[in-house]
Amino acid sequence: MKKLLLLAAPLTALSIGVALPATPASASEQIDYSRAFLLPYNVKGEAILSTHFEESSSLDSQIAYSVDRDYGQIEVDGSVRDAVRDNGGASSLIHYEGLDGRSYYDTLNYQNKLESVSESALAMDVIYADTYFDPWDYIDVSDFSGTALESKKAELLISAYFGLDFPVVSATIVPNKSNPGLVDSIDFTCGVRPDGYEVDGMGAILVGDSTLEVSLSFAFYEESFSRIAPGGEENPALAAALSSLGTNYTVYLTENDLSFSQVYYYVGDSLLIHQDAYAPYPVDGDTFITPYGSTTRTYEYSSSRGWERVSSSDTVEASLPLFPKMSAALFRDEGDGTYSVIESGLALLTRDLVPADFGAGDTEPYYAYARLDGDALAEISLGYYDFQYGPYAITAAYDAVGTTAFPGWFVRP
Amino acid sequence: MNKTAFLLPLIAFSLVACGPKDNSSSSSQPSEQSTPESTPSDSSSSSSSSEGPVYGDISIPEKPSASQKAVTALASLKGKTHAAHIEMNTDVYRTSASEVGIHQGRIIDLAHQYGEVRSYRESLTYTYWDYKLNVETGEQEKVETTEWSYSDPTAYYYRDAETGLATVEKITNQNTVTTSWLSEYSDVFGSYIPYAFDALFRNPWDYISASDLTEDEDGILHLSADKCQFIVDCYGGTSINYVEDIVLSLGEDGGIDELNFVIPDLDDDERYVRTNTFTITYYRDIGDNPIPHLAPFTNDNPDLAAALNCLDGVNSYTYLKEFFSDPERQQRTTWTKGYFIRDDIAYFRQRAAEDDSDTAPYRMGDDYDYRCIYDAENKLYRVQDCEFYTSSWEWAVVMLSGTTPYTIDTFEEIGPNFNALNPALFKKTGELTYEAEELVLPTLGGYFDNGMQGVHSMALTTSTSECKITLTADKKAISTVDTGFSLQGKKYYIRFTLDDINSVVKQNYWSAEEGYPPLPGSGAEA
Repeated sequence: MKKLLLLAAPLTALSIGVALPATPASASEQIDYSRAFLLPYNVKGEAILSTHFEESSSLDSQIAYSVDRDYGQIEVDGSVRDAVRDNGGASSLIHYEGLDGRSYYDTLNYQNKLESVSESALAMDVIYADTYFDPWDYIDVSDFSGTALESKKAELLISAYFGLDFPVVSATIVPNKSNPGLVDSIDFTCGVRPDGYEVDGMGAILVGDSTLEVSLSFAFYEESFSRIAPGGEENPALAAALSSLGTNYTVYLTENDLSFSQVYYYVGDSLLIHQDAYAPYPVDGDTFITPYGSTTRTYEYSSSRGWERVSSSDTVEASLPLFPKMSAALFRDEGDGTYSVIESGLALLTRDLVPADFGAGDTEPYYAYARLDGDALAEISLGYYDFQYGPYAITAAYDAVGTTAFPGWFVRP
Repeated sequence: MNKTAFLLPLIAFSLVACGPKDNSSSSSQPSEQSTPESTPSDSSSSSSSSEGPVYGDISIPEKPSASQKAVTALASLKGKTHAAHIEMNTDVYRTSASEVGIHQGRIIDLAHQYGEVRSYRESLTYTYWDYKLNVETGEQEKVETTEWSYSDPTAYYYRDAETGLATVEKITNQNTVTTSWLSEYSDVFGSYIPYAFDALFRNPWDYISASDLTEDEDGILHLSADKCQFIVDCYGGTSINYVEDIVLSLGEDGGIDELNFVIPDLDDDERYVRTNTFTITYYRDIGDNPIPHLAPFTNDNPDLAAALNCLDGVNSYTYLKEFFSDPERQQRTTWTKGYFIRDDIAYFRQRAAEDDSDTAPYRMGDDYDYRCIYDAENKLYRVQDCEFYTSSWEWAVVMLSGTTPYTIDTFEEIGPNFNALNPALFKKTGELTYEAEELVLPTLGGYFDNGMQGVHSMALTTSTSECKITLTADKKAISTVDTGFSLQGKKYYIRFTLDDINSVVKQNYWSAEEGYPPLPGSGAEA
């Protein structure tokens, strides 16, 4: 944030264009257009912010904002909650208000079970009423004069739908022809905002004219959207492939951008986790879990001390990545042995499936798929996009099913 | 309220109509992709008709009704000129002694004005300190050394009726009113973006409906929970837990006098507990026009006008700057005395309170001596300070950077520049005394301070908390100026004393080039 800039200049002449006249109406005749928004509704729209610098057109810019959101209510644990559904993007998330006022979203976990996740931003819980409020809850009949909506309430609409603060000169409701109590769209007339661009970092300012073109349209429904539905496809071939892995296989886990990899050699009662798929020798962090009586013993390798027994209660089963435990119903059959995870099943996959060693945290993949090789599971891959570094993937590739043995370089501790 | 505001000059502009693009066809239609579980009540609505969707018998719900008590209460603040005193506190207590808890407190006094002039006034005081868990007692103890605070001077904002943008008005040192856009710098766009007034200075009661106020069995009004968060947002609440309820206290006229917030503690997995307190008191009888557009002051002060120019063209004077720990200015802490001789030298002696002797030059502890030597050839003053090198005291050139020596162009720039002030900025409070108008007070102290860095208190240029001028008995010059400022919760009191106009006697050692200047306490004079 820059320091305070004080550039006081005398108020110069202002001129205004034509503002759309409001349709006069007496209070008793006034339609309360905000009532329509007690119904479930969808809002679609676009706001295009254009800035033009008369003295330097190279600084001109145009940015488009869009909204496609459903407002409604869903039933959670026997009570009705306010909810929104944002459409578009990788998935259409449903955000709803918890009984504690926090915001939650619905998603499916890797086993195709519905989960509610508490939302947070910058390590703070998101309060639903702050983030997903319906601006029409703050508008009532006194804000209308005929079809004219008070400008500050029109500004609230732009703020809620696009996250933009921009002065509105006038806003006129376009009522529905067949049902005049419903609103088809709103015509906005915005002002010109003088944005100041600091040219040289020394306080020299070029002033450009910013304008905002806004289009908003609405559709109303008698019933709200409901909670997301679990995946419904049975995908028998995939289900068979997932379950047929059994208790003997090798899985290569790779992150292709950082070339980070792990190999899991699973031979039923014992498991070797090798921290570098390309190294034919033990490396720091390699882990070996093997039965000892009715329990297990765990050993870790370090280049300075060799294999050492460590205290751990992890079992072989609990140490394996959970990719094969995914529900086949979470996938959509794309043909040719490829199955993609449905959008509502993406959000928790990293949390549930990717080992912590990859440092992926809770990052949501924007796609995930499984691929069969014949009847056997070949790989399951999660695709990500980093705004700085671009796309990358974490892939679990399965091999040597039923024939896996520990590598020749491995000497049991 | 967003306090990181920036100002842009007002410029000529015109409004343009920028209505929506043609979206009357398909954009208002629900799509299967976006609304798979619901469709409009009439399937024909999905057609791309310029007439808009055709709905069937869809019935529009009625809004909940409101009680007369709620209507009366809301009417007292909705679109009505009023003031509010807001106190909000956030305390985060750590459960581990190795972690530090914090207190943040804010007091906001604001006013909304409606009518011909839509305006907003705000002043803010912020306090902060740390907490440390005392393991033995289990008490959260305030760490006194971490306490600090600041206050923003009262600011005045106006809604530009033509554009809806926010403007800020200020009165300059020359008693003229300036108007500027209130803007914020956007890192995203690299530009200063003016605020829309109504987006920044929301009166929450303009957005709340009477039906949001529900009456309990005891007849007490409560605000619905989702609107509670809106109230917090409008009044700039940060780090506030979820507000469960707001209870309204009504006056005899049924209007809203107070809001009492119900905010449960936030207990984060035993790592910390965050508690909030939040209270608002409204003042609804503050007149119709408490925040008019600013206007130049009309104080007529001919004596002060003359006194403010008492240093114009003089050849010499002394100017004593004393710091005090008490508002009565009895307990002096440090002082700086400046001796100014035109086209020759300005000599500054900075000492601790106990050392009242007129000895110099030397530098020890907090004590410094500075001087500005006149360079006749280049017609400027060169700044030097007295440093101890190996075995002797010598005058060293003060550098602004590695290669740039500190020079001052004119005699007037070394000392105070109170002749730049319009006398109308002060109101006469006694035969010889004048006090600064509150509206311009924060910046005025700086005009009475020395201009040379090192003997100048920056806080006076932005945070002056008092400014009282006393003239000499003949009313021809300034005698003393009592100023002060607050910094990190502590108040500082300063007195400037002007004397010896055109009668300063130069001491030889002031202009000594080298050698062994007298040591402190030696009593060496000319």
